[in-house]
Amino acid sequence: MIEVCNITKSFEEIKAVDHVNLTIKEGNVFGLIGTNGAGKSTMLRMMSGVMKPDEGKVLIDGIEIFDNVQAKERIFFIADEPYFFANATPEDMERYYSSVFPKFDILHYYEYLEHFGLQRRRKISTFSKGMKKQLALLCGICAGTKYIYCDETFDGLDPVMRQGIKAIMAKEMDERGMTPVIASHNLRELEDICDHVGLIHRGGVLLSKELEDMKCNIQKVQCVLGEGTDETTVFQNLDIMKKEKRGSLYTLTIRGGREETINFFSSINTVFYEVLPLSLEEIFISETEVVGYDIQKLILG
Amino acid sequence: MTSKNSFLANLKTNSRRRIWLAVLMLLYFFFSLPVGTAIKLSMEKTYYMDMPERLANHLMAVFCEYVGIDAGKLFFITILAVIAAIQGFSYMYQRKKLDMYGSVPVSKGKRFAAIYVNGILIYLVSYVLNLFLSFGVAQSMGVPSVYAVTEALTALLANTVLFFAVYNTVILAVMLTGHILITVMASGVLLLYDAFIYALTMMYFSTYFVSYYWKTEDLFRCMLITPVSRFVVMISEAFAYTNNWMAEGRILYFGKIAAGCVHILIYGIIMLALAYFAYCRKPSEACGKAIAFPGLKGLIKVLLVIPLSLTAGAAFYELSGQSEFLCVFGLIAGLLLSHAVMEVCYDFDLRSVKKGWKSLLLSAVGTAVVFGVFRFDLTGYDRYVPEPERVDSVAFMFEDTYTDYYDEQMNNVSREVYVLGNMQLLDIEPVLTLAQRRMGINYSDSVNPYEPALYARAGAGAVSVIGGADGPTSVFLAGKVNAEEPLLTEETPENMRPVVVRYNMKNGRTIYRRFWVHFLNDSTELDQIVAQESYKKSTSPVYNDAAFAKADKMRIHFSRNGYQQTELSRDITKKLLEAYKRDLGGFTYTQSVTELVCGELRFEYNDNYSYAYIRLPIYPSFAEVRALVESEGCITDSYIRPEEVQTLYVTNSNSELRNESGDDYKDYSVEEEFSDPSEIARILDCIYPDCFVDYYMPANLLDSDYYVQVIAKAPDDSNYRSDYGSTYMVLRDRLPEFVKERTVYRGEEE
Repeated sequence: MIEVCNITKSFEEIKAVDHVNLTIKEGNVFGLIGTNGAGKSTMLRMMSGVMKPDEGKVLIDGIEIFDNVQAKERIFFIADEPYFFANATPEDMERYYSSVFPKFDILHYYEYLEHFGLQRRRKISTFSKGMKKQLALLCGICAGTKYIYCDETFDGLDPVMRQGIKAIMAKEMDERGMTPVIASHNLRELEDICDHVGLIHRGGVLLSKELEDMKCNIQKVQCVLGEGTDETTVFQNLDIMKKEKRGSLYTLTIRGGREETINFFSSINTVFYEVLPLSLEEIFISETEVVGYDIQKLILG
Repeated sequence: MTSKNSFLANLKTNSRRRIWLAVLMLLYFFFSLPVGTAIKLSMEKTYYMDMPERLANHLMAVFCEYVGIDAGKLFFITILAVIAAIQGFSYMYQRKKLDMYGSVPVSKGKRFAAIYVNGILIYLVSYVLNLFLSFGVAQSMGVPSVYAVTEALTALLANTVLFFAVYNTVILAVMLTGHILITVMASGVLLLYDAFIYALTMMYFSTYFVSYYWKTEDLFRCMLITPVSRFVVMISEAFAYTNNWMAEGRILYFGKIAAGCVHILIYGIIMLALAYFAYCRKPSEACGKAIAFPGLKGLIKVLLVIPLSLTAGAAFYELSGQSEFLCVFGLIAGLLLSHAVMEVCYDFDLRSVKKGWKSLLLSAVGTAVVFGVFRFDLTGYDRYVPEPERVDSVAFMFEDTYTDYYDEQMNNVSREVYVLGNMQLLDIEPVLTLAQRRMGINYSDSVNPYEPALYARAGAGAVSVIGGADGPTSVFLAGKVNAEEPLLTEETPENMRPVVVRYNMKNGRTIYRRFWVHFLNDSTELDQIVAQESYKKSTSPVYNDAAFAKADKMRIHFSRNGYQQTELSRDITKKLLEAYKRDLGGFTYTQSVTELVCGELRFEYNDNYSYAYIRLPIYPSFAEVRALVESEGCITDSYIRPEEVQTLYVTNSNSELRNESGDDYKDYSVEEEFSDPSEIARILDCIYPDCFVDYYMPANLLDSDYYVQVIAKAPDDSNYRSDYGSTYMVLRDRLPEFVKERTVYRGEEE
């Protein structure tokens, strides 16, 4: 389990991460979602022991990560811009990683390289950006670590490769309980892979929940109220996150369970109502809008 | 065991990343050692082809010198250490590298150790390997290279210690910065700051303190603590004994190197500790920033801006011909500019020039205080005369006389070391009286003590009228100074003599001061000083018993004009030295400035290792010495007799015409030949051998416009050193009118 305990990090006057608490359980795929500059990369860098928090600590299976080899043996960090040695080939990288990660799976590494069409003796500098990301992911997966952190790693991968990598990840999770932590602002990308998400905004965690829970607890309802029904009175008992009205059609984003919502709307005078499924993107927008974030500034995948 | 293995694995992995560094080092040492040895020995072989008997020894000496400590390697080894340190830790400059290295399961300490040790190993392996090769090359060229082992190992040790200390210093610079450009600048600062401050301090001392004496630099040498500066000091101190192959000389040579190495080593260890401390605390977010620890920014800025402002002030002062206004302008400009540059470097942003007003204010105050201390002599440096009860002894030296001094191995010893180091005047009163009277008055602007004859003034009638135009010259017998002559008693620069005083304080301190005394007016105190036994013993080489212990191996000559010399019998050496001591014992300061030197004794020592040439002046009142020399058939009553002269040439530079024309490059000089015996006799009556100018001669006594070239008649005995002419200077106002008339410039047709 990864425990982020009340960590804070400032860069001069800018507070990048502000008293964040987070728990990442084993066996989950944890998605770290956040706007640009929200502090995702800083979080991951602190979680991988690259950066020391100003306050608080990060524990990997109960061991503090910063400058601790024992804890670092359990994580592999793929930065948003992965680094490979100058003039190195995939073979050179294998030599390096297998020297520092005791459980590095050399056999699988070369199998995967072949599978993805990456030549083992070709200079990495001649690889495309996507190929470099694939290679970094393969290094991470084969390092044999319990946790793998991916910082915007799936960006730039074509859909086929993305699916291929996801399949390998699923296999590794199944076989040895690998726990990926994936930071991205590409919500559509995370939606089909993550089962737990942490939403970061302005250095703080807005929410950290199971994806299903999150989806279940926010509902999107379209309805037309019956004649003579007072909008203010009817809606006052609802936890409305967002409300839009076009003609007589209301579109509401409401906090609450699906059953509870259906029950509510069936009990009031409506001409029509429908509870619609919410995408992760919509949940994200709703949650950030609640705290006053300008939706226009979001960069969505 | 696991730990050791993982360290070796780290080392191996790291060395893969540093192949080009290894190639660079191998190439440097390959070309500088085996290839350089081959080239050097081949060249020397060609030069010494005609001397086969000396070739083997010479080649061995050349090889010893080549693989030994060498100032030339200092530069390259420093550069290699800088490159090795920056390259090793360069991952700290890029975030993506830092992300990778920081997240892999390798402890910070082990990573540091692996990179660190690798750098040293790459250097050592490259050096030792190529050193072996150079020994092979030397051996194959017939040089018994085994004799150079000590020299080579000493150099290896010293150079490695230098590399170690520079390497550590630059690693510290890497840890304190986050950008490679700033690291290079910081390395320069950390490696040269002490030398910069030392040079700046000496510059301010020499600019603003009249009584500053350059030997004071020795007292400030303790400021030089960084490896490069200390290595230079070590070499300069050790090289004083390079040619001393006696056991004691070798001990001193190796002792100086050992002391220097220990100093550099300690400094290196401190730098390593600081570098590791900073490494452990360097935040990863410092990557890409100028300074890794923001708390140090202000301190670094102030420590750099103050000396840079002072340098700018001094530069403007000198370049503007010592304008006070421009000096202050330079200080302010230097302050603002250097502060602005530092701010821009800190933020990599031109708009940052306005930042940091507090540090600017602090730097301005610091600059003003330091400048004020020198400019207004706030410490009273130029007025300082110690209290008599605090002085143990004093050394006193005229700066305008020149004598060569030697140690017991006949190695040349500087005048400052020999005279000021040995003299211990216990009667300090006359020195303190002179210091109180003369301290702080600067005459140096108009007098160059090294060329007194060039500063003679026109219209002087200073030379005593002695001798006659109708017979052999004996100008020096009657003395050279007319003490009643107002021109000589004036307190003008031409009549002042620069002196250096060294106070040996009771608390062990040594203090140097320099001032000017009047060559006649201060003669009461100067007579008291010169009369002291310690003065005579430490200024005249005749008391150098250690050197004269080798007198039986010396050739002794007498010369009355520098060009003709007569070899004296070695049998009289002892008697001559004793007589000289007796004559000198009664010789006063006043006599030394009122008599002209009439000849000199020259003791020449030459063996395989050393060459020494001791000169002792003879004055007319040295009766015993003159009698002994004359008993060997020498002439001591004239520089050259008319009958010995074939012809002579008088050259008049007509400097007044050049001064009037304002054209410094136009040649107005006129040379005239004189062959008539009577004319020659009259000219000889007013000349003084230029080789005796090393002995004090008041500037006003010479006429710098004229010089005389004397061509002697064909040598009729072997005592003539050469048949070339000898050069003489002319005593003021004694030159006959017919000479002046014939050497006047008469236009281009001349």
